[in-house]
Amino acid sequence: MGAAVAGDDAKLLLVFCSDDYDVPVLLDAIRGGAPGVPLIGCSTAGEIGVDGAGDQSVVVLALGGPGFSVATAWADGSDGDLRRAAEEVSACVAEVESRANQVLLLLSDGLGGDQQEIVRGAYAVLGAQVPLVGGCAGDGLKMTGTLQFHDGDVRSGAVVAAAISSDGPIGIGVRHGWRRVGEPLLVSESESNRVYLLNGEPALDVYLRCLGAPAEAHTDAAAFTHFAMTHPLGLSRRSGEEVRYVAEADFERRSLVCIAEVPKGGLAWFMEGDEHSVLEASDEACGDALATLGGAPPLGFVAFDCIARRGVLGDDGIATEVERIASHANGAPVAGFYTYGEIARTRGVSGFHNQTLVVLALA
Amino acid sequence: MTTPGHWSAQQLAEFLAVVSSASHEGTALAAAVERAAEALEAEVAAVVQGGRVVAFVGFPRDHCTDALIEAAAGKRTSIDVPGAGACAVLRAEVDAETGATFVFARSGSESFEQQEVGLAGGMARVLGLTLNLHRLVDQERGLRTESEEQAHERAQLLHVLGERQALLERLFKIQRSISHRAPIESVLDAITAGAAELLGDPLVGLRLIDENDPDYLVLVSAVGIDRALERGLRRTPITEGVGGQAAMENRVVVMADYLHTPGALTQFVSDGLRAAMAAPVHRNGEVVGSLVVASYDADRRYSETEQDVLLAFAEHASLALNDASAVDAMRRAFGEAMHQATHDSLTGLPNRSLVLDRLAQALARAERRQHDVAVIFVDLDRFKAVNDTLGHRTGDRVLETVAQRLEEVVRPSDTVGRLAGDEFVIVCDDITDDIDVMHLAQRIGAVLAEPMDLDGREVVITASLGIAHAAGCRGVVHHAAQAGGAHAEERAAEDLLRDADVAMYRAKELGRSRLEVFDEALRVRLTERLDTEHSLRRAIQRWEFVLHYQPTIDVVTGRIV
Repeated sequence: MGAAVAGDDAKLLLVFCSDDYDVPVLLDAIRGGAPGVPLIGCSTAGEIGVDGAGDQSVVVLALGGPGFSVATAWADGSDGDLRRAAEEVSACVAEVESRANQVLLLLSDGLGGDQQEIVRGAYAVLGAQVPLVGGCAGDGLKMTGTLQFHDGDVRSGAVVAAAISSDGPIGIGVRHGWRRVGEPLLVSESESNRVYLLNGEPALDVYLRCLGAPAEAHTDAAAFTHFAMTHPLGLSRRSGEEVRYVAEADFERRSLVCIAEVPKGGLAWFMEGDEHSVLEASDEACGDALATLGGAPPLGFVAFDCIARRGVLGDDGIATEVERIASHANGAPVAGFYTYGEIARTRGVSGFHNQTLVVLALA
Repeated sequence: MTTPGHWSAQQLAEFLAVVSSASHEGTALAAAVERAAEALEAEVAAVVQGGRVVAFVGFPRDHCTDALIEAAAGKRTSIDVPGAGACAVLRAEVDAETGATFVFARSGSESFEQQEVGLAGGMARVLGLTLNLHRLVDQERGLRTESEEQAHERAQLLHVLGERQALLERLFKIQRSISHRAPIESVLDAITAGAAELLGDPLVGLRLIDENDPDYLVLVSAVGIDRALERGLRRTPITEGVGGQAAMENRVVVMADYLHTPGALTQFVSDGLRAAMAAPVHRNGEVVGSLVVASYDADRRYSETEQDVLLAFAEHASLALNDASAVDAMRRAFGEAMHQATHDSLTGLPNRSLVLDRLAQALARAERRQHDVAVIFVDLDRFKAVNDTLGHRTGDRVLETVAQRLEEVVRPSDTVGRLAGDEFVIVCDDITDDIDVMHLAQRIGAVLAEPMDLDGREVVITASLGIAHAAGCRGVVHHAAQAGGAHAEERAAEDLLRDADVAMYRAKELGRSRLEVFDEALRVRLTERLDTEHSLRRAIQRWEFVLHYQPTIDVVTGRIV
């Protein structure tokens, strides 16, 4: 267990842990230490805590103190209607005490369909008034099923949320650190998060050829996923490119399965990153989050870090990354996890990200 | 890394794909505001219709604001959005008939760029069409339940659905070619082909304002206009035709009875055109041309939906032209090639072929309006001596200076061209008085005779001038018109240029640095000369030349042996 429950003024418990745990038992134990405190959390693809990054561990962050209020909710999205689920949980914003600053923290099932619909659903209810932040639960790259926690309940395919309002400022930073490779490609045929044709050719074939994928990635699902983790797609946007994580290959239909929608008719790039660019993005995300605090010292950092970035950094690299994040936190506790997708909406309407680091700083 | 001017076409393609797949009006509206806000990275997007917000994102679901209605009416340029602060407003008309308007609001200091205004316009147009088609389908459905002629209406319903599908497919193709950086010509061709196919009209033309002469439109893409007709219509005054009117008035113009509409293009009238419709095409918010469809069918009527369809294609042309890279490609591929092909590289003046083209057009207009056209032929005196003694570079400077002086002295409506070497020509359009041309020619002679300062060296050069009037040889035009059909004006133009040339030679014969007008006496001489030429040519063909004397020379001594 990572960060302990400090003081008796806890308002929210955030729990991130491996799905290998007997989660109901674990949650009971945690809740026993802080009776009546609302809890949300999820399973991960690695945990980030004050002691660094790890696997098969548990990270608990207690948020609280005066001038801080929380309301939580959960909704079932296992029927694939993630928008409706997000609309439902967003209603908890109306229940939280009104304070100067607020944010809605969302945790979802990264294997449950087009995650962008979660941001759309929440935005439809809340508008620009409430920033959104969060991440998609993982399962240690097994890609079989993830878990979401709400109080003592453990579910799959759910959206859980915590509306947080605070007298102090709330900062959010978002950065990726990937760069384009080669020429732009036309998404000639796609449906939701499945890409069938790029430049009129089967998407999988173009992907493997243009990126020079290793032979085993051509036939083996696990080898493909491993390779794809560090080779996302970038979609052309007004302020740059939006990154899309390629989750798996459909070897039958020669298509690519991404974590979020890749619209037909759009332009896409293949992208790649290295340790340096990914770590630079970590620094920038923390810097952006701190900038919003306007000089106030952070009381805690929550990091939603894409599993793909972990793939680029390797075990030593993620240790460096978490050290860097901790140094920006300047002694304040850091908690977070390696995700299957990240949520951060502060400006504009879009807010679902892939392959990025999202940092939430509370002061 | 980003490619400005490019993401907008992609965003429009995505917007179209999503909005067109909506199954009814409500879902289309909801998807539209959401996707449009995403495309523009705006906090707020809303559709306001009849003083009511019918769809929105960006405000809490139960706290929409009347400020949006005011913004839609153009009464606000900024609105306050909870969580985003003061936001700049952008609006775009979705449907003129229903008054539906798209409103966007975005935080931050940057206002909306031209490209974004274009994208918003494109999205509004796509939404307008989608809503219209949904409404049509709903109407058809309504009719179907009430009417007894169910089979007929079902067929109509299918037709409407099919049309909608075809339209969206077409627009989608165009957007794909824009976002895939197809050459601008092929995008514009796709637009004219799409308009022809969907509106079912035999003639479609896309005209853009001539960059060098904004009083004219240049045909850049066409369907169904045959070569001969196209030649005469390649460049038309902006004041004429349905396309000119649409560009001048910046609105859709319908000519239901083309034959009897003032301002109709005569070539089209004589071609038997009966109805036409045009929509303006923009670049960066400015009108730069128009898209025209036309029909030979006297019963052809353009419905409001068809006007919308044409507007949608025109918007796509605008989008393609807005694309910065496309504009560059256009300038490179089309503009420069056209310019090179039609202009003299040294002086930048129109070359012989463009001069003839403009002269032919001027003659066609003069014929209709009973005006006169004149040509002044200018040949520099002893230019070869300048070249030989002062060098070719100085010679080139002389030619540049002459070009500059000629352009300064002529009227804006006149065309100055360089035919070859030291031969220049001025086409004087729209002459009402002979004195005008004489006066202009005298001034040309005077300004050219002024000393030129070329790198500290003073050079004086004079010119011999010849004038020919079209009015003096109207008979020739008529004659050619009867004989030559579509090429009548071109032949008349060549004849007029030749007449001016003959007059100029007469000026040289009479001592140079003077001015002569082509007249009856010269015509007689010309006819004699032409006869002689003709006889000589025939004599060669018939082997009528006989050898009388042929000396043999020793190449070593040079003597006749």
